[in-house]
Amino acid sequence: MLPENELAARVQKGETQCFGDLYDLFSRKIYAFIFYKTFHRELAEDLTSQTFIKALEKINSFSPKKGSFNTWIYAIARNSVIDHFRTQKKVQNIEDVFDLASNENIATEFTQKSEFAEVHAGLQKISPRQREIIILRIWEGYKFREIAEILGKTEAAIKMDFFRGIKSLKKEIVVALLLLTLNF
Amino acid sequence: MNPKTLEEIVADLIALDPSFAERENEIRTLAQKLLAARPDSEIDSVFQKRLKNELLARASELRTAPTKSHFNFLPMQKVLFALGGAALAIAIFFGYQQFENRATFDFTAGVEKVGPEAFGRLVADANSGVLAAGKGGGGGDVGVSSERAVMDSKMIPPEITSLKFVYDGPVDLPVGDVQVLKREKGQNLAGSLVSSLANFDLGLLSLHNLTSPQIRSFSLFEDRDYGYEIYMNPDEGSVSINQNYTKWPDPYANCRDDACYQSLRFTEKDMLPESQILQLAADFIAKYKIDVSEYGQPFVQNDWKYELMRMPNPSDFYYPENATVMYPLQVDGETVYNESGNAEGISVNVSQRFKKVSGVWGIYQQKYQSSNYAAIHDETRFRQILERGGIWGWSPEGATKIVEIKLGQPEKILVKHWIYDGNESKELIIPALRFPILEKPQDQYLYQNAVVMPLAAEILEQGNMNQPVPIPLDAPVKVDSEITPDETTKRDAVDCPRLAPVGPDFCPNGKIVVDNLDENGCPTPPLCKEILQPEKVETPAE
Repeated sequence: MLPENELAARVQKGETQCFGDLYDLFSRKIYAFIFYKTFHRELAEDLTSQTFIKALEKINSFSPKKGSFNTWIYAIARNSVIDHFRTQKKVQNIEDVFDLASNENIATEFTQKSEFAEVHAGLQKISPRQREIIILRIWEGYKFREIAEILGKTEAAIKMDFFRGIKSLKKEIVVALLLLTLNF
Repeated sequence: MNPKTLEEIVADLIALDPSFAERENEIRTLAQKLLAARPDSEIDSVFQKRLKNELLARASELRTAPTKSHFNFLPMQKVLFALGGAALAIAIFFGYQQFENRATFDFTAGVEKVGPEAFGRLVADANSGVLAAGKGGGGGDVGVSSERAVMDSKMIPPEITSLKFVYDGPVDLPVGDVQVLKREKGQNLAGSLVSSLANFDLGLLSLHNLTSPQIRSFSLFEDRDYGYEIYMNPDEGSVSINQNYTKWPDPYANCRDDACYQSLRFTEKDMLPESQILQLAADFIAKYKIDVSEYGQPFVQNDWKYELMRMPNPSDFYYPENATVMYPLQVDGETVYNESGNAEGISVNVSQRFKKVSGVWGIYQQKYQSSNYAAIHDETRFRQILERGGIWGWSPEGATKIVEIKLGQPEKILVKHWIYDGNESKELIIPALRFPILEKPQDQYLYQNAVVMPLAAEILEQGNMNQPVPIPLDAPVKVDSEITPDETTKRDAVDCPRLAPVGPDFCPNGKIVVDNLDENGCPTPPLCKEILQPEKVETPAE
């Protein structure tokens, strides 16, 4: 298969069937990315659909000079999530949609995963950027270089945020575990 | 949890801060917790496929329409007069090349839910001639002769064999209704292409004056060695690919006698390995970007091996030059079969002689409506029909030999079912149970690989779709003087079927009894009564 930038260029020239190849490359990753922000399957499917429809309709606005297709479509995905929660709730820090996704959805999907409850409580306490990097690195297995490309940052910055996030998380998980224990 | 990932994470952290090495166990525990807490984020495959189809359809809509053709036939007028109709066809095809090379056909897949029993009857009306020849119902409308014919007592009817399909295991019939799918056909070709063609003024005739023109079908061919001809039927929503025969070599072209044909005959050593056949098919699919996303894992059809097994002399067997790779159609994750129990889908024919794909058939638009119909709930009735071989099976009366065919555990499938209603054919897909045939008999030809039982009640309860119809033969007729008054009275009321003579191997060790009449006074097939051999008497020892 051709590289994603090349595929995007072909779609722009009218070879719309190449969008199918782009979809094959990114559908699973984008869905997982959105899912980790919403923890709700149906919502993740809706927002994944919106992401790809927007990407298709705005394909002519993509320019490889500004960044890779990878970065571009992840940005569309992130914005789709933010736009969704913007219509659902009015909050000051709309970037921190992790909190907004937490309560009902978690209860619906993951009541049986006690580790998740513990980890989720800890993840809530760290910064959104650090949280996103930890999820991409540990749950999705991306390399630092790939995460840097997705988030449009340098690899060094990503590593530093990851490191700081783990340190904070370590502390928060211990506290969260203690709190969970005390609740019994 | 992937141990490699865990080690990588620990290594990352230690690399970022060497002091973490002293607390490696804590870091490892934290990383393990994080990995263990990972929720399942796998995308649903049905959703994934559906979204892809929607996106590709949207992509087609967003594309700009092709421009009108500026092709001018007038300079070619003299050529057209000289070459006649063939030139006209070629000119149209040549003109087609002026268009953009992607037709805007709507070949998107999808299922639209409609109300219950929206497709009408699932079986043909008795008067619609479903079994008439030429409509896929079989070899013609064979009826019972109305001539007065009785069997000569000297004629020996054939041995009648009945197949009995045996399955004693559990049957899981549905609760409630079943969802029947009807394939949508008759999609109009994209208006831009039609209007562009209709703009042609050929000089011989004008297409401008056609009212609401549509394109039913057309074909394109590749003018090169081993080229193909692509036949498109937007009316049916189908595409097929064949060899452009004028550009493929014919190895038998110069043969004038049987020796020549025999020298070119395909043998076992000429057969390609399955892996190579599959690869040739896959390469073709990829090259022409044939969408197989709605289809399952391809496999090579090997029905010829059953034929070989049945050959009394295997050296007489004609090995097939063409191998077929089947890409089985799947609807909502379930494989679609035909009523013989074989997978339906895209067939890719591979010429083993030329090591090239020679044809692709079965590319259809997979757009359906779905409607609920009553399911079969009567297990006794279900088993009765299963025992005789499904809705197309039948048990001849007066069978003298019963062959039992064992069936395996059923699997839930979808079965393609055709009905012909007047001039319209409906293509339905119905939930069914497929009972595989565990072992085919050596001495009976059995083409099917399974017994397929549709679960829609209307289809199963219509009775025996495949009524036993006697074969009409030129049996000798008794003259009236030989017919007793009783026979006359009875036989005037009922048309008795003619019975074919038995073969020479019928009843080798017994006596043929032919005097039986049924309740209508018609002769029944003869029976073979075994002649008991006298027991040997041991002579006392001297």
